[in-house]
Amino acid sequence: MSTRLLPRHAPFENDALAALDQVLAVASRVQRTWLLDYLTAVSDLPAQGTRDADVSVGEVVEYVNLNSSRSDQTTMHVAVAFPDGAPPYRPGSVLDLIGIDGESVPARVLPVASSRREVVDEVHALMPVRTGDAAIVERLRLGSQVRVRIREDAEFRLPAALGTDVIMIGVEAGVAPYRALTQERRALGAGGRSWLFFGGRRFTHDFLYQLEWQAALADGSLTRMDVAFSHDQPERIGVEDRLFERREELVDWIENGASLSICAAPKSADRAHFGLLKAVADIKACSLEVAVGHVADLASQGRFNQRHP
Amino acid sequence: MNDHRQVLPPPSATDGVGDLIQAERDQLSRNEHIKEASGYLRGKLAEALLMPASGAVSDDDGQLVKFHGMYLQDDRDLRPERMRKKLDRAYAFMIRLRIPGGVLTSKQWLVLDEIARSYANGSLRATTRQTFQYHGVIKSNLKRTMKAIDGALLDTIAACGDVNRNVLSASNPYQSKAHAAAYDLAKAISDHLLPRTGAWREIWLDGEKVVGGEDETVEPIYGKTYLPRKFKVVVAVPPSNDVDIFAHDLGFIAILDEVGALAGWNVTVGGGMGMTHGEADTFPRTADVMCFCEPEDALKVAEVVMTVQRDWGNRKSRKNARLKYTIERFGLDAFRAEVERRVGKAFAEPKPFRFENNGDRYGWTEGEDGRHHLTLFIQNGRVRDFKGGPQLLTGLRRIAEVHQGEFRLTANQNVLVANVPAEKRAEIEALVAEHGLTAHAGTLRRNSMACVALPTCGLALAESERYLPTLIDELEACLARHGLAEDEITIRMTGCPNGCARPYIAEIGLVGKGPKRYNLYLGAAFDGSRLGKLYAEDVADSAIVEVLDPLLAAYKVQRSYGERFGDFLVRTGYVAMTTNGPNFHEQTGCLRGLS
Ligand SMILES: Cc1cc2nc3c(=O)[nH]c(=O)nc-3n(C[C@H](O)[C@H](O)[C@H](O)COP(=O)(O)OP(=O)(O)OC[C@H]3O[C@@H](n4cnc5c(N)ncnc54)[C@H](O)[C@@H]3O)c2cc1C
Ligand code: HEM
Ligand code: SF4
Repeated sequence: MSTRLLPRHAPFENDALAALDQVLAVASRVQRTWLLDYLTAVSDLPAQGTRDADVSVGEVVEYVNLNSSRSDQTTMHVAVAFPDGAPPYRPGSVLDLIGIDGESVPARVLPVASSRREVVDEVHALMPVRTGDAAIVERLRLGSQVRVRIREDAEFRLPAALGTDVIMIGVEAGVAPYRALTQERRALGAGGRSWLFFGGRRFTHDFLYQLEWQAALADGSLTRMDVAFSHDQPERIGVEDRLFERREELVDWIENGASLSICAAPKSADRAHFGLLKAVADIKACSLEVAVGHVADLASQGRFNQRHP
Repeated sequence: MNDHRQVLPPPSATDGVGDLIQAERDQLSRNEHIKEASGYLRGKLAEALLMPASGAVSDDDGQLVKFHGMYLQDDRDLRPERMRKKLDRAYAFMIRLRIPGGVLTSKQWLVLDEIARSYANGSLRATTRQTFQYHGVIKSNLKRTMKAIDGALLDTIAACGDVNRNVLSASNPYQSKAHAAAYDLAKAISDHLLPRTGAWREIWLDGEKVVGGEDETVEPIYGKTYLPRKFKVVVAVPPSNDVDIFAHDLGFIAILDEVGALAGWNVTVGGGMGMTHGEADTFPRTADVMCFCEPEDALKVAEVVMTVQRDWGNRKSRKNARLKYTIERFGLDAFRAEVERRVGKAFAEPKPFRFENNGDRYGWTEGEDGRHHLTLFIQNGRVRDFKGGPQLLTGLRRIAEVHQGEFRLTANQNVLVANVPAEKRAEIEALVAEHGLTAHAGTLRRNSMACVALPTCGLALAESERYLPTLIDELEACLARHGLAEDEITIRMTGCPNGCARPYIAEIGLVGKGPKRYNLYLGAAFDGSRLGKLYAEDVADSAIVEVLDPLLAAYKVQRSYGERFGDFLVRTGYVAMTTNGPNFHEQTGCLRGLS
């Protein structure tokens, strides 16, 4: 297996990791999964859910609109490189953009889209450009020096255990944490399966990170993918419709211990949530109220999570 | 019924035919293996449709979708930015319908119009095969589109691929009776030579799967590997050669008796356009008039010409696989002898006939039965609403909503509103005016055609449909300067030498060589019976008018009465005459000094 297991700037002792790496190299698949779960558990970063995490200064090394020029949306992919290595962060983190080229900007919270175990020196974040972002859009460019704070989101913890299955439901820029998680699981050689539901407006113009998802499906770091594009056909189709279409396997995954996570703008998140409830209710032949109870149980076990990018 | 396993020619055929074909069968082209392994055109298409992260299908399946009437394409304008944006190529499918003779009811028109607006790029593209194609249908919409097409009692089977393609029939309604006979023959041939595999229904309409796959009897005419290459059939009614009969593999020319009834058909074989730049063993070729057949033999002749090509055609090199090369290799006599042997009778020599042009007659005409027909010029066949210009899509939809007759697509990419009762004519004329359907089109423009080319055609070397209109603006100004504005001259452009708009039989033919560069062919006949000749190679687009200007000046003053531009250039020796395909590449260039 060629996956690089050792992050160059490990937040802990390199010797210990090197030793573990050797063990992993000869471990069976089952052993690997177990070991890696253990590894993740012990290497868990200290919680950084506070606003006073350290401010870092980095340089914008990639700044590109991921939507095609024919799209009516703009989603900037912002890659920030740090000369001394990226500050520690985990999938599910957010990036506060505080200043650009020495000047402060109205603080903007962006979902992080990368894993430190894969991109090492960088942090990638997504910025869906909305009205009101003019100040940022005008100033930010390739080579900008940016002041950022990278912190965890206390309410949004992605499943860290690598042996479990994950179901990731992301709409538009809400796909960011799932790119981070997929990178993380790939870098660590996760044993569990992963399933991404992605939603956007149009397949051709709004399929964020399309090439990367194709590669992830090909190399196995993503097990399954379903997509929903609302503007590609006369009727609106959203991820909620795909969740319902796939309800049998979906509930099967959940009953096998899968964790679920939704990341989308409020309206889309509500729709996706409702799709999930309908799927559960249909398969379990229960009322929506009872399905709400099931999902609440998942949440209390730390297996369901929902957030807005 | 034909036995498709009998592939080698019998001993009676010309000496050496069998050996040559045997040798080719040992080195089959890649496509032959794909067909063979496809399970009668299924491949892995059903699985590919379930893979949502990609808008494409595999290379092999990309060859197979052609048989289902589609091409996988991508928007080449968008290529440079997409990699950077972490997006795959902007893949989408071109879907071509099978509409024998190009005849559609108003009801069908309305469905096709709705599909264009719902799933395609908002346009219907009339093609030179009397059909429509859609551009920009993404993979996730393919099944919906196919189901909608099926709902209109149409399909896309064999609209592309190594099979008999959409069969053309004369559109221009001069003599209603011969016209009807031509359509009936076209329809009968289309039905008879249609692939029988259930793959299309199975894949696109979720039809029932045949357990264990289909067995060998499913394709009694084609067999497992279908044809070596595309096969194109047309039916013409003189004096109009609107179907461009000499550009097709097989053609039937209506021969009428003294009272205007059908006496039979002259059979033409071996026409074709496609060639490759720089490869002299590829060339366009005009068809030979082979023989005359009785009406009742026509369908059998069509089948047998196709099956001889199935067995004799080159399956090693796709560039030399069309019937035109088979006939060059084995000779017309040997080919005819084999056709006669398989039909079981000898045919008479061709009867005299006369074509006058290969264009459409625009405007209103009245048929023998008192019905009226309106031929609308559609620039490059693109039916859509132009901002600030003609509202072709909307206008034709409005006509379809009130029109009780039918629509006909012509082989020149135009649209005919057919069988209008006298009392309905005013209503349709009002709609034509309201939507600007006949808005400004000069004589040259009405005699022009361009292929699709960029951005969707993957083979395009230069612009075509998007550029020709501009070039015509400039040329029309030049023609006006010489007092030639009202003279009919045919001009056609393609983005590459495949020749989709049949440029080699246009009086002015422009074939893409590279970005903004074209090969210029001159000297073809106005009626489509003679090929042009390469006059100037690799001409920059900005220099085209300059190159043509002195020739047009000479034409204006030196032509004899009624002489056509192409004929003039050959007679006065500016270009050598191309008598047929094999000498297409000889004596090229300008042969005479220009003053
Ligand atoms: C300069 C010009 C431009 C035209 N542009 C278009 C166009 O862009 N799209 C379109 O669909 N129709 C075009 N037409 C055809 C025009 O729409 C019809 O002529 C019109 O509908 C009138 O029909 P009619 O039955 O009254 O005339 P008719 O009695 O049918 O025609 C009168 C005479 O004009 C001739 N004629 C008809 N049409 C043409 C033609 N296109 N070119 C040369 N001679 C013709 C006829 O052969 C006849 O001799 C054009 C015609 C002309 C003369
Ligand atoms: C847009 C994508 C298209 C592709 C990829 C395509 C592909 C091709 C190819 C490969 C050939 C060469 C065949 C040969 O030499 O045997 C060809 C020929 C041809 N195509 Fe197309 N084509 C396209 C569109 C069209 C359209 C829009 C039309 C009609 C309007 C058309 C009509 C023809 C004709 C008339 C020929 C000449 C056939 C001959 O040699 O007799 N094609 N095409
Ligand atoms: S002629 Fe060439 S460029 Fe034009 S549509 Fe045909 S294949 Fe494409």
